[in-house]
Amino acid sequence: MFKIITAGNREAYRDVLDEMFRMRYRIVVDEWGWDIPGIQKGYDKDQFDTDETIYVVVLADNGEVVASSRMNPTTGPHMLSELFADYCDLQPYPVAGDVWECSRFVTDRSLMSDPVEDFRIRCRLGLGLTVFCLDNGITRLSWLTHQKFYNLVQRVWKTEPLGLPKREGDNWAWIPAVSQIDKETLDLQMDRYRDAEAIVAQYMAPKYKASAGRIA
Amino acid sequence: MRDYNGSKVLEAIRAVQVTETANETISELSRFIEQYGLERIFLGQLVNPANVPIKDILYVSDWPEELKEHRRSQMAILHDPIAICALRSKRPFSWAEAREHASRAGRMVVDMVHDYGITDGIMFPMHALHSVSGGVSLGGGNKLSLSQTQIAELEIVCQTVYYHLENMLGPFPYQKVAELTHRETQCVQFAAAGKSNWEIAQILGIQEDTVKKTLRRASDKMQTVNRAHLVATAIAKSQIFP
Repeated sequence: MFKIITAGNREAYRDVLDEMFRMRYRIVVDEWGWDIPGIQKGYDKDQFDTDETIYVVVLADNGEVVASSRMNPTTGPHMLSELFADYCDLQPYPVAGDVWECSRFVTDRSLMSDPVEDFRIRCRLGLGLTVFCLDNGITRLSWLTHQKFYNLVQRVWKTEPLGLPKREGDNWAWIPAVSQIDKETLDLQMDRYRDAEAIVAQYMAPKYKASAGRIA
Repeated sequence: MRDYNGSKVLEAIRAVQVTETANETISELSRFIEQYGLERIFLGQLVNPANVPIKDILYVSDWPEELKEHRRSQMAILHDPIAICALRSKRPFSWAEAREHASRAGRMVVDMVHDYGITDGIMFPMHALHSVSGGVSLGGGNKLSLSQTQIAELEIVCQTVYYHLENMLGPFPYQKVAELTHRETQCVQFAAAGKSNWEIAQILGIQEDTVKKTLRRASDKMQTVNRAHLVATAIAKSQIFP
């Protein structure tokens, strides 16, 4: 379903991590156009990919990496403390043993065959984060989320912003946020995973109806 | 921002998150926006009312009933420059800003609300991943002068309200904002200029069959049934120039 890669099993998954860094570059740099200082071309591994970093990776049936995310303890240097502290103007970014920071929530949609699979893979990635947190006594995850992603986060985890939306010029805003992780959210996520077909069918319905006709 | 105190914003967000009915949620928002000189809320998904019945979309407003009815009967949303801008804009914008770029019909739609004492306002577009866009439009009878910080405060509270309502009242039908590829846009653009498939093929230096397939793909994406429908929809969705 998903793999959780920690310091303990990192060696066994060396190839998977390698592929994950390449996949991240494809999406984050090539598709989203981010400018990340200090990384190699084709390989998105930055200063927050450390020995302590935990990865959740989702693999396709053929072993290809289709989605991944990473978590760092907030007791050490992390993105909110090092780069975006001034974004947190509503409340200070939380620092504690039971708060970790999640970043690089990335899925490669070009590898997915249909919307149901796409939905399920995102569910799996989210489930991986929740499962790791519950197993390791982590009660909150902090993030810097893209404005368009914020509602997906708050749909699953009880979330509140750490700061006001920040944008450059006319562009999308970024919102620092913190989410609670508990058993209830795991249940909700499992339900969404189980009902993926029904949920996607429901919101795809008007689309199928309208595309029934064709132009010549 | 060093001395900034965001406690009133956090308080408002927490209050919204525990509301259990749409009325409660809107009352919380009303209370919050009062301090910015704003009085009226118009919140909803931006879909073509000709395609989707109003009961199937997220739509909440405390505008006067008569005004709502008037707008509905005129299909005002189709000409409303505020709604049209919101589909494309990645940031909040004032009604005046949208009005500046509007057609004559569009300006009439903006001005329609003046008779009801709503003379100035600001729109917060709502865009989620893989889902239909919407917006929260706040208006009032006063001339607005909001600082960037105040706009950001309103934005995060509006966003919380919007998605809280979506969770509470949803799920709503899914309508993806189609995005055409470069080649598809070119073909549709020439189709809009009255060119035949053969002519488009000559202009672009590709096979006629490729043009036909590209237009069909574009048509599927835009969920349209014939050439005229495709061109009209592509313009309406700002995929090509009119």
